[in-house]
Amino acid sequence: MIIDNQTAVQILYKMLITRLFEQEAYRLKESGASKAPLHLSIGQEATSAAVMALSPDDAILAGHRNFHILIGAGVPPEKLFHELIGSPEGICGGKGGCFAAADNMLNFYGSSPLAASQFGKAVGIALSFKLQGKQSVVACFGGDGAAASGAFYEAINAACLHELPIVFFVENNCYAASMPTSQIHNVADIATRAAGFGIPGIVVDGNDAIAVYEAMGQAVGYSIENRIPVILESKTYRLSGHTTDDALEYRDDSEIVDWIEYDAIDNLSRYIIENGVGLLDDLIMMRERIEAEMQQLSSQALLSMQKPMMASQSKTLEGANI
Amino acid sequence: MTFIDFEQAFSETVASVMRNDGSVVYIGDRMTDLAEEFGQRIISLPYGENLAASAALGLAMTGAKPILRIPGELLLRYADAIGNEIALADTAYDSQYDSSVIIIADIGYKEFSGPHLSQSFEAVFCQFPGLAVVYPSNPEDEASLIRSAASYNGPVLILENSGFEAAYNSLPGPAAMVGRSKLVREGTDITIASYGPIVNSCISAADLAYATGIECEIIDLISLNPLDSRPVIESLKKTGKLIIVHESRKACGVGAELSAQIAESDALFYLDSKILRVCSKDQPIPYSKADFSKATPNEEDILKAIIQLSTGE
Repeated sequence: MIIDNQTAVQILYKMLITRLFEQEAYRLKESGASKAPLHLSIGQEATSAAVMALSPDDAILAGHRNFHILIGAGVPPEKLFHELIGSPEGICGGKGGCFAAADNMLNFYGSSPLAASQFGKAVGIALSFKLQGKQSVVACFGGDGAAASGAFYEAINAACLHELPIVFFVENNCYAASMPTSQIHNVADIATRAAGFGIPGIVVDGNDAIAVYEAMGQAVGYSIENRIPVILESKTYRLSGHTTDDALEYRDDSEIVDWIEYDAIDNLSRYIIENGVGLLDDLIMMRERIEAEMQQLSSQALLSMQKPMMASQSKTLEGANI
Repeated sequence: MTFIDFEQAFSETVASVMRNDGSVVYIGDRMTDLAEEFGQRIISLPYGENLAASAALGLAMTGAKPILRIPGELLLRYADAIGNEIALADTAYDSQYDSSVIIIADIGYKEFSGPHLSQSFEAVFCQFPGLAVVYPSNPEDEASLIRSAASYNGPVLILENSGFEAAYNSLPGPAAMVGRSKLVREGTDITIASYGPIVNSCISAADLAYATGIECEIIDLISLNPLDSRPVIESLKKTGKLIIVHESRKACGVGAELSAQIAESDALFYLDSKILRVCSKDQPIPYSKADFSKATPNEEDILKAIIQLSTGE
């Protein structure tokens, strides 16, 4: 399958929004506007392409590392800035926090800061779809850490028995919190777990957004057509820490540098330029425009919260500036 | 024989709820008799506590109304998905999705069951904000509570007990419902607040006390979270004396919460003696009949408490 030019650019656009949103979210947090640790997806943005391969009626679930999935699904970044700082205009009214984000307009059935809780929910949603006669897939995103939990295998077993079209998209970003994936799985490819269930397990280069988009499209098609779950493992790398509070002392800088050189956004940008889809200048302009927009959206969110600020709160902020 | 009747009554109730509301689905086993009528709405899932409770939430979020019936001794394994996801979903997702799951679990202490199979987790689950917890004293009220939960907005945990006996002769009034206690017996001397099948022991103890001229008022709390303490407070205006009876352990139990609510209300000034709690000892429940009866409360213990309060000893 050859991806069309427009889709390639749209994927890059979402990936850039994710990256620049997260960078701005980090600044926002550092400014003291939020105390929540962020689970950044920097380095893993190609997963947005998998979300873009879905149809509007398909269901989406995510774990705690979810900004790229939320933005890939079409959640407006301003809703996430608002949620981050606990504003009532946030995606969950400032009640859940970004790590619990859900959006019923987009069939986004929630994230959870507690690992592996999405898998069983995915089974329930797929059972509902089956009862309703819907031909939609449930896309359930999770990490390599969550894929070592019992909940993952319980859910796949049930999905097989009930013939449910669920794509279990495993983002293998090389680390489960601070533990290397090799310490939590005894196999090199988590997708090979599929063999024990008699279902397809696919491995894709998670830093090649076009490959991710195409693999997801195929997995979804196969899952719906054959009414079975599929495990799709994306091999990628978490450039940031487990959370923004993570000092990363458990890995070598050289490893990070290697992966920066194989960055998914750079890879897709190169494809776009080399195939004459767009010019370098266009991409630079796109990035700058998004960057400015993210800064503007974050400032607006902050401003909307400062209006009713109490005297005691502004005192705390003054203190922080010393 | 009681057990079979109870199961039949249970499945008839579930069937009627399912007929009234096409969105109700049932997850659990032992319901093969309903499979023909309801087809795919009777769901059996492979082993996995997290799976079953999480799947119930997924169903609720997509327009179904799941009834999940689980073995109560495994409740703590289900507690992860119940407390961390089902109970929190409405707040976390800012009411964007329905999370009205009905969970039914049989709990309680039984002879020849041993510590693992004799457990009573009601107070634990009252610590999960967002989850309503009800514990009826008889199968008739359980049936009413299943109907009530089916139209309740939010998740409900209905605790049942395989030791359920037939319903007591309650005073005329509305059927049991989530959020409401029930006045079982009127009296002027002592208020007894209880819940679960041990309410029957309260009634027989009150019968014996009545023969000696002591009139007990009995309130079946039924709804433990939210705890319907208002009728207890009202009753204390009349009696000035309170005995709280529950089968589970005393410390951090529902009785402790009720005592605290009484102490925080005007009812503190209606009391003319200390509050007594008749509960199990703070220990795992042993297997043998002899050890079991030493650890758990019975009719005699309740009667002793009644006499203690009425004589002021």
